Amino acid sequence: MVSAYAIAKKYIFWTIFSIVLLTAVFSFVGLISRIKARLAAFPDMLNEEIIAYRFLLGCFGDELGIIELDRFTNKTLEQCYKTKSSKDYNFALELVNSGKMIVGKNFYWKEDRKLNFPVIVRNGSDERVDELIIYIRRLI
Amino acid sequence: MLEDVIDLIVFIAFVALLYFLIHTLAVSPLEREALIIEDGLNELRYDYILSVYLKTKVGNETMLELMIKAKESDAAWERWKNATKPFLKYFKDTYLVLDNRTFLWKGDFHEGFFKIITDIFNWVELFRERPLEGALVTKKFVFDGEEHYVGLFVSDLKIEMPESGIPVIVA
Repeated sequence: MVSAYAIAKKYIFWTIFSIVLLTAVFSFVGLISRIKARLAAFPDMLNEEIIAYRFLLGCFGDELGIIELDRFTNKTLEQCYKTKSSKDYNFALELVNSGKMIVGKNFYWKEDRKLNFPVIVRNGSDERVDELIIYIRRLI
Repeated sequence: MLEDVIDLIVFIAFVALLYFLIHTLAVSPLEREALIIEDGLNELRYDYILSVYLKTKVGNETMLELMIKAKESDAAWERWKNATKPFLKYFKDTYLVLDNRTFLWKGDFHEGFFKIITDIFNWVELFRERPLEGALVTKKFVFDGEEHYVGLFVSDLKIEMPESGIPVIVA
């Protein structure tokens, strides 16, 4: 006959074992989701920044970092970087000192991230330093 | 009872070891990759900022030409300071060096008492030649037949730089 002590001992063991097992399972699930999140997060940052550089490398001007003010239009932005929907990376650009802003046609709501760069704005023969803010809207 | 406790401890230790192994094998390389990507993007960003900065026109001169003059002339230094003010926010936590002269120290102008202290440091260092090794971005220019080097050091880089690349020593 099994004693009451042995039965109680068995229950205590399995209770503790279950708690440990559950904790382990949750930890592993957490770890895997963290790995997955990190795998997904960095390409985002890399992609959007690499795309953003095209606006500085000859999209609105012919030289690195130079923006011709008359070419800084929504039309040029659309020609330079075409988007089909909000499922692409979308951008809006602002020249702070010149007070000019252009917005991609699928850029909705608020930006997820913004990048600030110095640029040289050329307006005819006049050149001046300005700040370009690139607003980035990630895939919705 | 004692056997059960030992079993449990062994099981917990096994699970912990397994967790640690997975973490080391899967997460650590990812973290390293992330740092490399971040530093690569930093390099790209600062390379761009420095390129635009150096070709910015101040009157009839570029910023680079003005910096070369500012090494020798106080008047040119003042002109350079005024022209650089709009760019200071992009150079936070960086050291900007032209040849053997530091222009920006942690994003601020390197002059006055602080410059005297670092000059003494360099004198104590017995005029050892310090190339721009360790700079995040280095650019070489030839101006009036002379070679000039511009280096940009970043103080909060997460990847370790070689000992000789510590920017503090640069004059």
